[in-house]
Amino acid sequence: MKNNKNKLVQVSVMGEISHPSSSGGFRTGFDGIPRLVPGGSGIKLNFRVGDCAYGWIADHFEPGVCLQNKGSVQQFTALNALACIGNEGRIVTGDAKGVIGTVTGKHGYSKTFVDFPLETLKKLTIGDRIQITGWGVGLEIDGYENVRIMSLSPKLLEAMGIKEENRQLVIPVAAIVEGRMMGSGMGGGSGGIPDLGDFDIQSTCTELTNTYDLSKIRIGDVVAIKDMLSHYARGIYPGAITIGIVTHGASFSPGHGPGVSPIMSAYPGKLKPTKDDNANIAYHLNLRPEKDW
Amino acid sequence: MADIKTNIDSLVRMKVKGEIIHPELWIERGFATTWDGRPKLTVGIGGIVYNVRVGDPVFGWHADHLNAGVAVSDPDPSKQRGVNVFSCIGNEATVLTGSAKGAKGVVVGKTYFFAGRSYRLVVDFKSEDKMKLTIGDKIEIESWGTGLSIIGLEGVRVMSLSPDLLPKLGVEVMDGKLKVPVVKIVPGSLMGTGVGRGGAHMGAWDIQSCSPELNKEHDLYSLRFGDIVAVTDVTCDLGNSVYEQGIIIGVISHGESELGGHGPGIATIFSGSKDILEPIYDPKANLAYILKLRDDLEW
Repeated sequence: MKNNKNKLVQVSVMGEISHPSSSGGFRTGFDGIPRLVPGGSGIKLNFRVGDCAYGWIADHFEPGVCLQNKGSVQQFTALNALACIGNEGRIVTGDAKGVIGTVTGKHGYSKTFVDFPLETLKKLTIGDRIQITGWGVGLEIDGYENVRIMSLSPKLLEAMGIKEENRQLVIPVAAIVEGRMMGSGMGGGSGGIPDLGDFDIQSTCTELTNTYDLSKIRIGDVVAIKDMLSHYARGIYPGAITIGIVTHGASFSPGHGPGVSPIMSAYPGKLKPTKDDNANIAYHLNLRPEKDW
Repeated sequence: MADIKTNIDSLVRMKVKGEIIHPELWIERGFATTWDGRPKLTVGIGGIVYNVRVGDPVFGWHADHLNAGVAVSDPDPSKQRGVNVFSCIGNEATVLTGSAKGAKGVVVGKTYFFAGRSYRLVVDFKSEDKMKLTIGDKIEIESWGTGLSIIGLEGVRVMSLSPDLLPKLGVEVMDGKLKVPVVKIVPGSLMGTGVGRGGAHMGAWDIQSCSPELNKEHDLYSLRFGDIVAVTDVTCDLGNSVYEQGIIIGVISHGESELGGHGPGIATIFSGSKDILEPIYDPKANLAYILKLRDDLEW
């Protein structure tokens, strides 16, 4: 299988590690319980790609390091548009200067996550800057140009174990999710562009989470979403398949849950997801060698 | 109907004020992109829409997220929420300024302009009054209904509903259930933008109209502005989300959309579990019929 990576430019984008923020109020959960729990941004020492997305006393918990660009709207949008999952990010300030990490996901149009080994995470400070070599926008697989690819680095594409079978791309995935479970982020952002952020697998109906056995989903899992087209905005379309990477943790807020950054979208009949427990980017890119896969 | 008792005596009546807002484009300086990759200029978000009113079809217009009437909001985000939350469907609106000063209208919907992150009301006026209105005219709403609940059926959450509209909806309490006439029951799997947004007492939740096949299968093409519809397997109790035991009932507040994940918006008026809230089919369950807003239409 060939792709057009040699035609894709590599461009630098930068962000800084952002501080967690709080509204100062409780967040009312699906169960009516008001909670004050950690959420986004900052540096997470015990929550990285490869860890379970469910079960934390946290809301929209973001793995590893959260980067934001504090410049103009255009600049922070460019960070999220051009950084692709699997891209390299180099620390350019502080005690960990020079260490290279990996982009693992995006969240809400303005946040990009980068993973580093624990010893590096310990050296990082809020405000440290990380420069990413953005490479992947415009990626296409030869002969499958109608499969829209987004937010995906050529390196990860080639490591995902994708095979061709009867004019279909067979994609190993850790879970197959019903389209009706998708929540916040449906329809996309202000431009409706699915390349920028993520949309959530709703984790606030416990019965359905159990019915569909979703609570094992890990950060970094490659997942397929049924009946979902994400070419230009995320929306329902019978038979369409969206492939995405799980980027942030579960939520107590109605309609929210683990986030999925779409990486592929196809009309019916083009993509065939196949279950594979190791379909996780930490496994594909060897980000968590200490784990048993 | 007479048997429905509510907490009406404990509800405050107060004035909120907004203004008629200018139409806006989905994408600043350019085209929005439809679900299938076509560029589209979005007509009908905001402003005064003259030739489409509550009771008219939702589909068939060269528009996107059309507000079928007058869009009322406030430029200040905090006041805007106040106007949107506290105004209830069926509340009376009065024009405070301009040539139509004194004219009366009625709140017939709530919408959320996703790209501009702003909440609006849809207010219906008689055509002759509408002709006199100007963008920027101040509109006052006598807000009444926030906190409404049905005594003995507190498990049904009531929101955005004027207490004087409730008995006109033809609702009944029978066998411990609230039965509500609706024109259509939509499966929750169709629900799109608006899921997870937070309190359902603001704005609208879109029924996705980006799959022509599903639009046909569920006959969304027959929807009208002001239709009362039910959606199964979802809840709006504390926010819009999937919920196997839940059902919601709301009012079609804005038009269809060709953008992925978007479509006609529902302003929720009831949310509850299926064992206490039940829709009953009634082809006349439309605000224009219920409030006698359209003599020109045959029902």
